[in-house]
Amino acid sequence: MIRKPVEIRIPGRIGKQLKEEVLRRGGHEHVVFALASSAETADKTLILVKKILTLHEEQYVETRYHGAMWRGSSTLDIINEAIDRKLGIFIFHAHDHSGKVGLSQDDLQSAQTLLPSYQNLVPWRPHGSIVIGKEHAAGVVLMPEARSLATISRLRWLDNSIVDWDEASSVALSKTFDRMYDRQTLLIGSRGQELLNRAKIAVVGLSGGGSHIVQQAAHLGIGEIIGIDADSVEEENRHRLIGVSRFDVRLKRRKTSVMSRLVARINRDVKFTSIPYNVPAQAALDQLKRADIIVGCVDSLQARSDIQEISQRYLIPYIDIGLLIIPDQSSQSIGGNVLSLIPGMFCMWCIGFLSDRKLAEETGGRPRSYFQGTPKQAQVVSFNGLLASAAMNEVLHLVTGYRQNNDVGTIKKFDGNKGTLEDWVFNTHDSCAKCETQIAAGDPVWIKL
Amino acid sequence: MTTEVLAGDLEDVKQQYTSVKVATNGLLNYVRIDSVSLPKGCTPESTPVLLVLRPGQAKPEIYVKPGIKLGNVRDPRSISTVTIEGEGWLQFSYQLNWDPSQHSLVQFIEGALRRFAKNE
Repeated sequence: MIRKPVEIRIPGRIGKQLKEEVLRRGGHEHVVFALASSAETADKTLILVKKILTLHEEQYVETRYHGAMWRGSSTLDIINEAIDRKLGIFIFHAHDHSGKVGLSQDDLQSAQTLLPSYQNLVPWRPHGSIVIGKEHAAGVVLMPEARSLATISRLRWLDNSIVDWDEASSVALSKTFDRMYDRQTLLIGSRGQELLNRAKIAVVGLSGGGSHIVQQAAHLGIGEIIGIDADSVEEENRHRLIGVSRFDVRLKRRKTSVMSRLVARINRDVKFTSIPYNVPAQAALDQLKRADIIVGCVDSLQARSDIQEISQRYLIPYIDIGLLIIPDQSSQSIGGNVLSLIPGMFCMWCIGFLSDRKLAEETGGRPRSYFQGTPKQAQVVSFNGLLASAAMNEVLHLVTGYRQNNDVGTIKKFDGNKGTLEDWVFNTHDSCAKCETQIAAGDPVWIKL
Repeated sequence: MTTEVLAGDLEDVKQQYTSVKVATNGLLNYVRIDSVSLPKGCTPESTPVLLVLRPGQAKPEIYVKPGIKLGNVRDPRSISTVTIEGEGWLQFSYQLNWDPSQHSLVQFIEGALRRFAKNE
C-alpha cells in the first residue's frame, strides 16, 4: 500500500506555547504531549493538533541515559483525555540547533514502545513522536491498524503566516523562475515565489469578488486555484465578472469554465481545478479540504458558517470578503469587510460576525431548508476589485510572510463613501463554543455498533 | 434526548438496519446509518441517514444525502444542503408527531422519510 504524505498542522497560539516549552532550558529535554485528530484528503493525511499538555518539573525523572524521562503515572490524565475524546497522542521534543533534525536511536526506540501502547488504547487515530529544531522537524507516526512507523513529511505552523518545515524548507533553492516574476521576486524573493508555486487556494464564489481573486492568483503564480461555483454566467454578471465575454452569456457557460480560460490565458504554469458545485455539496467540501488557504466570496452568512467550519476543522486559513451597498438617497451606505481568519486565533463566531441570531434572521426565523439565498443586492466591480486586492495581499502574506509586522489575523473594514479600508478593532469572546468543538476536529471517528 | 433513551433506542436501530455507526463531538451525539430504504418511487432507492441528537432537544434531527429524486422525478421541496462534521447532508422540512416516551427511533426515521417523499 502506498502511504500518503503525512502533514502535521499546529494552530496559532498553541504553536508558540509548544515551541517555548520544548525549547525551555534546563537540566534535561522538555517534552510536550499533543492531542490530535486526523483527516484524509485526496493527497495527504492530516494530523491536526487540538491541545497541548506539559509535565511539571517533578514529573520528570533524573537520568543520564536519555534526553528526558518521565514517570508513567504522570501521563495517565493525558491518556484518559485522549481515550475520552478519541484523539491521537503526539510527543514533541526539541533538538535545539539549525539545519535538519532527526529522531535519535533512543527517540525511535521510545516511539516503538510507546506508540503501539497508545494505538491499543485509541485505535482510531494516528499517534506519533516528533522532534523540532530551529527550522526543520522530523518524526514518526503510527497510523491506525498499521504495524510499522511512517515518517512525517511536513510540520505546518499557522502563525502570522503559514510556515512549513519540510524537506524543501531545509535545502537551498534550486529552481529558477520565469522572467515574468522578476519584479515580484524583488519583494518576496525566489523562496517566496517558490512558496507561491507550491500553494493551493480555493476560491468559493466566482462572481465580482472571486473572479478578481482568480485573476490575481494566476498573475502571482499560485500553484493551483480551485474554483468553486455551480452557476452559469448571466447577462447581469457581465458588469463585474472579470474575463467574461458576451458569448459566454449567450452560451450559458459555467463561471468555472470562464475562470479556467482566464487562468490559461494569463499563466500556463497555474493549474485551475473547476468545481461546478456550491458549498456545502460534498464535491466542494472535499476540494476545500485540499486547500492551503480558502478565499470566500459568498453572499450569505449560512455559506460563511459552512466555510468557517471547514477552515477550523482542518486548520486552513480563511479569508472572507463581503460588500454591502445600501442605495438610499438620504443615507447611502457602501460597506465591506476583509477578514483574515487563522484557525486558533479567532473565528467569525468569536468576534460576533456570525451568531445564531444573525443566521436565524437571514432565513427569516425559518429552518435553513426554507432559505432561498440572499436577495439581489447592488454590486460595483471597482468595489469588488478593491476588496479582492486586499484579500490577495492577505494571501500573499500568508504564503510568503512578506510583511514586517507580527499582526496575526486581521479584520479590515471598507467604507466606500470615504474610500477607506481600515483596521477594525474588535473584541473576542473569552470562550467560544464553536472554537471548542470545531478547531482541529478533523474527520469524525465513526464507531460501528 | 438523554443518553439513556438513546442507548435503548440504538439497539432497535441496530436490529433494523445494517451498518449503524455512532460518533460524538462535545455534547452532540451522531448516529449514521449507511443505507436506509426510501419510500417507493424515490431514486436512488436508499440513502445514508444521519441523526443528530442534542441534549435538551425533544426530537433528533434527521438528514439524508443530497441528490434524491422523488416518485414524480421532481426534486424534494424545502431542502437545503448543510455541513455537519465536515460532511454535506440534505436537511428537509417535515412535521412529525413523535414522542420519545411512546415511539421508537426507528419509527422516527421511517416516519420522517415517508414525509420527505411526499413532496407537498
